[in-house]
Amino acid sequence: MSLPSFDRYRSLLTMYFWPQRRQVTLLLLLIIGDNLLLLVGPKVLSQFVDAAVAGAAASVLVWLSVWYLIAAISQQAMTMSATYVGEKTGWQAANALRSDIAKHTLDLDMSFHKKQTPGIMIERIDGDVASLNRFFSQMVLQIGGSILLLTSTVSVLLWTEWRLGILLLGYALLAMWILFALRGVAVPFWEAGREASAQLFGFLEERLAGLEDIRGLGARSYVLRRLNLLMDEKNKYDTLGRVYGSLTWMIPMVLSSLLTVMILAVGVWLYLRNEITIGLIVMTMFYGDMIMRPIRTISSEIDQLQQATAGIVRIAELLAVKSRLIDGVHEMAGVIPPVSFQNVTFAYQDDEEGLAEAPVLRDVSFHIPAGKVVGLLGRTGSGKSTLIRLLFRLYDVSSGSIKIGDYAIPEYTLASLRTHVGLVTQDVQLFYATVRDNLTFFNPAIRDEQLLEALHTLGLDRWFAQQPDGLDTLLAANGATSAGEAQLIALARVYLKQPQVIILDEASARIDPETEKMVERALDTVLANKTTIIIAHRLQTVRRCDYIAILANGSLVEFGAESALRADSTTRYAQLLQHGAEQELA
Amino acid sequence: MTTPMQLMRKMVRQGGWWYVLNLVAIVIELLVELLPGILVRQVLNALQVGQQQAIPWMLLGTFVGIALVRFVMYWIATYTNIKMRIPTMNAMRFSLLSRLLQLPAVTALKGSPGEIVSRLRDDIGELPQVVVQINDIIALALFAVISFVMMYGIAPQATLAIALPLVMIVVGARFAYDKIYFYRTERRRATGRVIGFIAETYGSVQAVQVAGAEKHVLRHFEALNKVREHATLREVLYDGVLGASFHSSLTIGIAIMMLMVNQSARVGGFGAGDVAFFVYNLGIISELLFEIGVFIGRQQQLKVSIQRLQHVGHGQPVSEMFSLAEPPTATAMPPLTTVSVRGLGVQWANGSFGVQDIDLDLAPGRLVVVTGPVGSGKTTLLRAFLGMFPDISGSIQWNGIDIPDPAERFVPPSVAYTSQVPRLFSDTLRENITQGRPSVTTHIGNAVHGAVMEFDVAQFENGVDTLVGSRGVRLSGGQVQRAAFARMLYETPQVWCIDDVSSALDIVTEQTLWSRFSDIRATVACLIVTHRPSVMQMADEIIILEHGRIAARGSYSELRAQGFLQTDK
Repeated sequence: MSLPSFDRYRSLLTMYFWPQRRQVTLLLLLIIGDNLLLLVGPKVLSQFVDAAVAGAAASVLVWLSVWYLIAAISQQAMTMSATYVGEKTGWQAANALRSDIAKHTLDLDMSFHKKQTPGIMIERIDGDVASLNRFFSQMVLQIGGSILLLTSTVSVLLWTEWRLGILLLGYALLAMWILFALRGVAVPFWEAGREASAQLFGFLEERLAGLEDIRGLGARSYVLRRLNLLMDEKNKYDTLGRVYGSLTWMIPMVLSSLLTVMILAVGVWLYLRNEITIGLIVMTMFYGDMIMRPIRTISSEIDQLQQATAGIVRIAELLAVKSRLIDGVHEMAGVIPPVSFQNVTFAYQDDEEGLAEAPVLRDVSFHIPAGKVVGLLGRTGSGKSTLIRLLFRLYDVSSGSIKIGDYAIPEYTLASLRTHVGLVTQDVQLFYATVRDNLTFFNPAIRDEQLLEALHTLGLDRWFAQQPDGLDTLLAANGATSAGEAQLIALARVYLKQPQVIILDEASARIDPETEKMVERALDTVLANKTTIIIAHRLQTVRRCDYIAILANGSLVEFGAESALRADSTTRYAQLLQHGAEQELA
Repeated sequence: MTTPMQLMRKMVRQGGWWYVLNLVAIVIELLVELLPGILVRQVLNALQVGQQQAIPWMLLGTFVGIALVRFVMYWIATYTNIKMRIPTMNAMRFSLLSRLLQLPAVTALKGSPGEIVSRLRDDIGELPQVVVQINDIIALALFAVISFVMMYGIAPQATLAIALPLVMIVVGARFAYDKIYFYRTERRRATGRVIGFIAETYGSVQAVQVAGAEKHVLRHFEALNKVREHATLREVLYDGVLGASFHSSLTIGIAIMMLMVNQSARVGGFGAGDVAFFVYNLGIISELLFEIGVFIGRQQQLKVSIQRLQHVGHGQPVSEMFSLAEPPTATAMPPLTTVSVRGLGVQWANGSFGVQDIDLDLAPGRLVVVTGPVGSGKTTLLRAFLGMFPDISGSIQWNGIDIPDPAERFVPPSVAYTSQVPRLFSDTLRENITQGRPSVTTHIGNAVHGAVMEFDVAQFENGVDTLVGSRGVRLSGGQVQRAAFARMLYETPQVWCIDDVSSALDIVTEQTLWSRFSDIRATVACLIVTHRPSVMQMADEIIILEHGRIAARGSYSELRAQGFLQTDK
């Protein structure tokens, strides 16, 4: 049984309930009221029976009926209000937790994200938190309320007729003991079930996103066979979890049949000795039936708690993942900075072992003066993309340092680093959101005029004119936007951001020569007086560079002024130009 | 549209014997629950009139038996409960995915993948609950009928008086249907947007990070969460009011009974045991009311889910989403002599054309390049050739025979395709390449070599059995493209369709790739979208597209002579 300690529950409770303490207090009062009112009904009923048996006046009986009605209906109102307030509290707490998880994970570095599929993140942020929602909104207070009901029922009875009270108490203790003994019996299955569920829906998300590839590959049957396997896995654990989990409520429920007969037997015996009335027997029987409710609540809450526990474990794990990056303190100044790489070496870490893999960058050093443009060349796998990731601090260097302006990049705050450095990647992700949100990345501070101006500057007028609702058009993630247009949108994003350092990662790759000319002109504006790194393989692009850096197998094999390298026919660059000129610019 | 009734019938049939067993267990369990009430009534009535010798002491021993029967029946009910739901969930998830995999690929998804996953998860996950409930209601209704008959036998007037408010509330609840439906739709929609957004955010988390947009993305996420919270709370409140009304109607019934007893007790016909009996039975009948209330809600929710699933399935009735039949596997095309495409066109939903009037011819060893400015329809042409759109006009002939369904026929082992932005899946590189085709090591070696990936694979810890991470994140853009290229090369087909594959490759790798490619393409027909002069030079024909139409065609030198394909500034 892997139950987390109660400390962990407590810290979650205080963290997410404290901000809503008034609402929680209200909820607490409602639950107390609800449970105490439950005691009134049987009490009134027993008086009614005794009064009727004794032949009391009609007015007494009418009053008792009215009292019964009032108590029962106000109890209903209390139950309803408690549910509403509980849900409200729970959703607020759960959404706060969702925000915190999103915030936390969005700040984590790529060594975390490369292991997650979006489907798994859905399961964590939505699925796990949903089971926690129950925990927030109902569990603790319901359990508290139920214990209150249990103790008050037993106390009332003990005070009225101690022998019947003892009977009820004995039953309650036995039932509680069973519940306690079965605590956690289903947790391993719930956990495995949730994991299987995350796998299943992660699988589905990936395949749906890659529908075109699957069709093109004729891999349909294969995908469906895999789906069947994953569903079987999930069903297996769901079944086991349910069967074991149900023991906690089944056993006490069945025991209640035995309780009824014992109350009846003891009750009759006491009645025959003239020690109690029939009304009291009736009341005790209803109390006996009624304490089933809190016991059932407690057991079903424990059932839920088991599910929530599985969720808490995983969420706690998620929140405990520390970013390998420690945020800096400096804000980047508003001037165009130089960028320099000093003896940069980097190896990806194997997470389980903490071991470093073979280095992908070795001792790379070069310097880009402020406002200059460097062309970064090299075969795929030579370390270009890694170098760029390092510049953004998606990872930290293993040794050496990267400086922008006066400080090494870890000394800047990540926020300021990523605000002042802009990137156009080879893969452009569009959101299922409006054109506006896709351009601004959900930043509401950017005005529409700025957007229109950017679209115009980057030659997206024609594309924009086709959008039926203008900036409010919903862009489908894989709809009518061509890859080339997506690249232009990516340029527009950077254009809007106005960073001081810009990185173009093979950005012009998918653009035809015609559009490229347009983009080239746009780039003249965007890049003017910015420190720039271009990962280029087209010779036109290289021509705008002031410096050229060539990487091979993770090492810098050539660096120098573009003109100087071009002039010297022995350099790799000159050979590449020669090589490429034959092929590219025939 | 499938009605909730039709769907429920379908799900019951799907549950099969598990369903029957579940019903039997629940009915037995509930009928057994009649016994305690009857016994208690006899005991108390006997006490009241001082005839304790009439107390059926022996019968009280049966309580132990009752407990045992209940335990066994509960257990069966719990087990069959999940067993009867599984076939429905499996069948629906399977057949819906299968359907999406049979629809034209480009327009198959209505909504973000994450949003569709939420429907596959939640809507399908909750649908079968309603069937479980049918059994509860049947059993409870049986209980209610029997106990009303018994109560009527004891006190007819009081029984009728109790029944009245119950009937009224059940009938009155009909008026709540529309509202339940409305709130449910709102809530579901809000949930879908939250889930879709999570999927997209974490699918492009690197882009979010480098854009420094975490804060804005988070705020958008919080806004979507808020909308969902409000929608949910409205639904909860409404359901709560409805539930409370159901319960109160019962309370009113009991109060009425007490007033009536007030009269009949004087006559002496209505004893203490009868009061206990009534209240005990009404307590269980209140569960029936509760279940009916939930059931009514579920009916409306069912309608919402049916609509949502039908939307995902492009209007396929939900009652038909139970087919476990595997979609047909493509039969290999006969050996290729010619492919001729005539008047190929794609029309968008708004009436404009993606491409139109496209004629082209392919043959073994023939290489056709498609080029043109951004948005001119190059990718659309390729996808239309592969049948990935719903509205395609024109004809495609293979060896002179019409192929009406290229999407079904133009797949490996006949035709292989690499898309512009290929996706890898979270699997080993080997599985990504073979995609369920038999894994032949030499073929994989050839494919890896053809895609110039042999150095990369040599560096991987487990070679081709290395796990490539979510969406291939661990691979660089160039590596993903080359892995996808290898996937296409695997077990050389008769036609290759390539959409701008080399865009993320450096010059040297790209040249190696194309030179290796020219060595293996001798017997294969190729249709390639590219801007590369080096590839164009290999082409037998180049087609230049503009605004979806062919603006010019010819060999590289011819087109250059006409003033096309000038790359210099």
